[in-house]
Amino acid sequence: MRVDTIALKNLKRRPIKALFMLLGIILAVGTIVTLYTSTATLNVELADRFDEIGANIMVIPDSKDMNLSYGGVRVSGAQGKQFLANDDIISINTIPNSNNIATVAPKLLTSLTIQGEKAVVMGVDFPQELALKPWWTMEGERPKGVQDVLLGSDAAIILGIKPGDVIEIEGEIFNAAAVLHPQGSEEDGLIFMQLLAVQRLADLEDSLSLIEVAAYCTTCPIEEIVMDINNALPHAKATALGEAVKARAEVVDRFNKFSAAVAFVVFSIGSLLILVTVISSVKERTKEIGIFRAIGFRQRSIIEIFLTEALILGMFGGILGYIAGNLAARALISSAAGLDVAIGWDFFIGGITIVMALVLSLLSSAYPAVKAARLDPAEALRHI
Amino acid sequence: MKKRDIKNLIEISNLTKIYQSGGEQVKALNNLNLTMENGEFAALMGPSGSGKSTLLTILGALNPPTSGKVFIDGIDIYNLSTERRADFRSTYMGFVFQQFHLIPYLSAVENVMLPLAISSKSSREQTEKAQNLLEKVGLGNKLKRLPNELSGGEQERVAIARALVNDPPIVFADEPTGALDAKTSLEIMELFQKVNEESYTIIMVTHNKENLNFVKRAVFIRDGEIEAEERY
Repeated sequence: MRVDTIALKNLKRRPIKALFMLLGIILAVGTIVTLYTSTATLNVELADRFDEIGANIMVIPDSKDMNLSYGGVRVSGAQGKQFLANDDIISINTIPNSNNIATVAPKLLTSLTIQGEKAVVMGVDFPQELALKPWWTMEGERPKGVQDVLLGSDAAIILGIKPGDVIEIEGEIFNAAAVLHPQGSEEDGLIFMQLLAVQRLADLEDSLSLIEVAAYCTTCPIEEIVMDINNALPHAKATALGEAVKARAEVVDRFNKFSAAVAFVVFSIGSLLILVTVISSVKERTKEIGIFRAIGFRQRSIIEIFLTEALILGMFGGILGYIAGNLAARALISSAAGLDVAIGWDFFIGGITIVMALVLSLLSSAYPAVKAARLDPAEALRHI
Repeated sequence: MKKRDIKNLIEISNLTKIYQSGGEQVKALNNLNLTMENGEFAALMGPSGSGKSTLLTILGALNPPTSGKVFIDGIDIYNLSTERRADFRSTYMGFVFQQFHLIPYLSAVENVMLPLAISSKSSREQTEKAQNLLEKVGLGNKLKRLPNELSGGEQERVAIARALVNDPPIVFADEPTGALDAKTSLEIMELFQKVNEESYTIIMVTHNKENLNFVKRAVFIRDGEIEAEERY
């Protein structure tokens, strides 16, 4: 017989109490695993959703001779200037990190004669552009065809055009499909048309002023994607849009901090639960501790008995807590968050969980164990 | 361990124990001097509150005196650290308590093995030793029984076997027959006598005068002082 035999037998003797402590550990570490696993998964989802909306990389020709401005960036927009080409879109879509690219939105910014007056027009690939800017709301039909035109709110007022009107551009008739609601940006003064139509009308075939890229930067840093694009397009200059990247980092960071705070609270509650249970166990076992001390058990042996019990419960609690937490995370992600994401069994996380459960149970049992060991044997024997 | 060359196994001098009770000082033992020889079977007798149980716990290295010295085998036991005193108890002493105080979740054989759990003895050696002792006290057929499956007398026998398992030179017993009927008390006292004949020193607190038929010496204590002594 060894001290651990005593610990094991005592746990078997008090199955309800042992089960209660075990549940405390399972609850604490299980909740942390659930939070960690689901937030890690949701982080990726959140970051991806964030990355899909709005560009975080802008690609422009590597030239100092630019005549137009868009989003604070100087771009080419007239004959004789340096442009990007249509093939550059393919090159961007085939960079080594192409899996991380959500949207590639090419643009040609130029000036055309509209209703007899010169105005700035932006040629875009409507499906890509609308995917990039899901916040755009408009009056009228979403532009789809080659002849469809989308007007910024200010441009529509200046030109006196309403959704459904015909509009003459460079002598050709187009359909004013919709008017954007005011955006509070330079887009309010722009007229959006299909890219191919603008290229043809401006006689700038195969020319692009800029390409906006929305990239998922969870699995690889955005700097890496920018470097890939710069390598693929030596004649162009790709730049990460600092604000977009910063905003994304802030959102993810806040989410992580919230999860960490909840995990800390749960861990503390779990520790308290175990602490209270072990303290009550020490009180109940005063007589037993007195006997142990009387027959020659050192204080260290008494601590060993309590910590061995904690170790056994921590080990089982850790394993069961990881399983329960992982299953709960799966249920949470699929039912509550409505995401169809696979969550696997991560042995590294499992190992960390077991260590965490051991630390939780050992730390919570340490004080009562020391208290039990320091019981005056004569005082304890008075209970006898 | 039980065979000692030293004549005076236990020597106490000027022993005083004062308890604090509700702001008042209660003198449980008053300047007590006593010597116990090796191989003695002594009864500490006296009315409730006389100080006999206090003396037993002090002799048992469990309760430091307020003043005075306790030498066992020439060692000043209260000069030892708490942990060394625990080792001392394990090596030199066995305890039999009034209510037997077996560990309820351990079987009879495991209860006897308990003091060996902190020794370097292998599991096999522990089991053999515990089984032999249980056979010796007449419980060879009830090794695996839990305490609540044993009668009072049987539990007392397990407690005696537990007190002997480390081969200590001294066995302390606090009212060992207090919870037993007359017939079982007689059997238990005969067992103690047998144990004493094997050179174990036994010091027993009792108020049962019938038990004096088995002891070699009786020390009568009243109000914390030795009132009288008798040798048989």
